[in-house]
Amino acid sequence: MSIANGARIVKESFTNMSRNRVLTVTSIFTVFITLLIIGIFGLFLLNISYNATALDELLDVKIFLVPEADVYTINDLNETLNRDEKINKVEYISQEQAYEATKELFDDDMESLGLGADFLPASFVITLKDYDQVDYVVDIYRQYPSVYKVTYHKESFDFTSNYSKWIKNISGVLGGILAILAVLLISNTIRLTLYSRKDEVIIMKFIGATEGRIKIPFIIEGGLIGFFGAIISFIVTGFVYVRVYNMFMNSSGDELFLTGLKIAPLQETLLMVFVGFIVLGVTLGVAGSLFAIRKHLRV
Amino acid sequence: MIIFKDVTKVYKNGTEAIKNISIAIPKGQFTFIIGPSGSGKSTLVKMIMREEVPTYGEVFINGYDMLGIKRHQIPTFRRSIGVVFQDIKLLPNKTAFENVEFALQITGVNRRDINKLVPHLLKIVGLSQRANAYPDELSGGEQQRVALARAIANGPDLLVADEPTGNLDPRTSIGIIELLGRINKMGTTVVVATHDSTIVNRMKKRVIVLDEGQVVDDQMKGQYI
Ligand SMILES: Nc1ncnc2c1ncn2[C@@H]1O[C@H](COP(=O)(O)OP(=O)(O)OP(=O)(O)O)[C@@H](O)[C@H]1O
Ligand SMILES: [Mg+2]
Repeated sequence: MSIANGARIVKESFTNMSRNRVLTVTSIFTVFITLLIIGIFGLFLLNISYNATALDELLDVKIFLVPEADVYTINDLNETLNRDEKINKVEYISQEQAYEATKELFDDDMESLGLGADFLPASFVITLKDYDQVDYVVDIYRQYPSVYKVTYHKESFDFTSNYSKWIKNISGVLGGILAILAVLLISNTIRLTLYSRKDEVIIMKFIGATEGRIKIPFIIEGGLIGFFGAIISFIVTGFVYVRVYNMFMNSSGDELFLTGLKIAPLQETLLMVFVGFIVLGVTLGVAGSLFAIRKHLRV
Repeated sequence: MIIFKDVTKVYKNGTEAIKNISIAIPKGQFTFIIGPSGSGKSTLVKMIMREEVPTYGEVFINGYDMLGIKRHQIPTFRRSIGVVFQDIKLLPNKTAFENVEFALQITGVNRRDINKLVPHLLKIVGLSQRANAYPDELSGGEQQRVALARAIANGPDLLVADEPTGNLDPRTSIGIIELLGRINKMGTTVVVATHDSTIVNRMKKRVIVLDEGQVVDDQMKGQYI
């Protein structure tokens, strides 16, 4: 296809869009809202996972061993833990290591208190792949005879799994519904174009235009609708994120800073949002056109 | 070259529009298809353009098997035929020149050839003077001439027209049918479905008469009775 030809096809798409202006604008608006919602929830999730390291320690599960546990039992348990699909990371902390760590904490006062190295039990510190599974995992290992007790910070687990699950669910459902709505609206717009260009399509068909040549202007039209929707939602999302980011950065010393929360870096995040929006927007648009023309444009 | 062999067309709603027809139209012939309303003329024409496919039997057009043809071959097949519609179907926002040009652009003819071909085509249909007029500035007859120029733009072997003079007055109709005659003399096979007796009687060409989906008469120098 020559450049002149390509330019003409794009021009055709623009002409189509200006022909049903109201529907085109509505469709662009739907893409905009869809991406905005997906984007804002997405940024929220991104920053949660960005901050997850801060929560890490609270999400450890500690398995304390009975003092009588011998090397073989400990090795067996270590292997079992490592093989467990639900467990992400396993770390063994011997009595000595536990003693040293505590000593640091108490400024070497331990000995004066008459507490020896065997005062603290050995333990495994594990992290889970899925925080939802904590009760299940704890119940299993609690029953091992060599296990003295299993501890974890229940509130942190509840917080983490509940909140991120809710955000994921809400943004997933809302984003999904809106995406379907956007596709339907776009396909409606394209169908109207199709109708207003019925004669042209018939002429093209009988002149011997290929199916691709007949379809391309409609697909481009859908793609453009998605593209413009993506641009607008990027501008709005970007604006909001810059505001929040600056608020974060200027808040050193006050409460926000003291929480230890961090915010994902500006440039990388915006670039990611931009690329994500364009890809998603154009995909929605093209999906909408394909949906509209699926049956109508057979040669 | 058109071959219909034992062709029956039954529409989805059960209407049997064509009943076991066999017709052969050799290359270069000028043929009228006539018959009362509902006799199946348009259905026959649609099967030639492959807008419809036969329910039973075989149809071969310009060497293409209308039932066996692959989807990707259809555009190539369509370039070997030219189609004229009763309602003309010019693009209202394009001039006469641009409407003809459109057919060439769509099939990927290059700029230089387009600029040579379009004036030539407009000359054949006698519209050189009106190249820059928009359809609503042209009479019905002139519009149909533009449509004819467009139909022959890609040099088809076969030209099919369904009621090409259906919306025109008798004098204009004669002009159009004579133009079709001239296009036929240049080597193009022409098939015209019509119930316009004036043009049929004027041409003294082959006339196939349909009635209730069947061929009831086929004369080499036919008359519309
Ligand atoms: N798409 C369709 N679906 C169902 N029936 C159809 C369809 N097209 C045509 N028919 C029927 O098939 C029969 C033949 O129709 P056709 O249009 O071929 O007749 P025709 O000879 O062209 O008539 P006219 O002179 O009025 O144009 C008619 O009974 C018509 O109602
Ligand atoms: Mg008809």
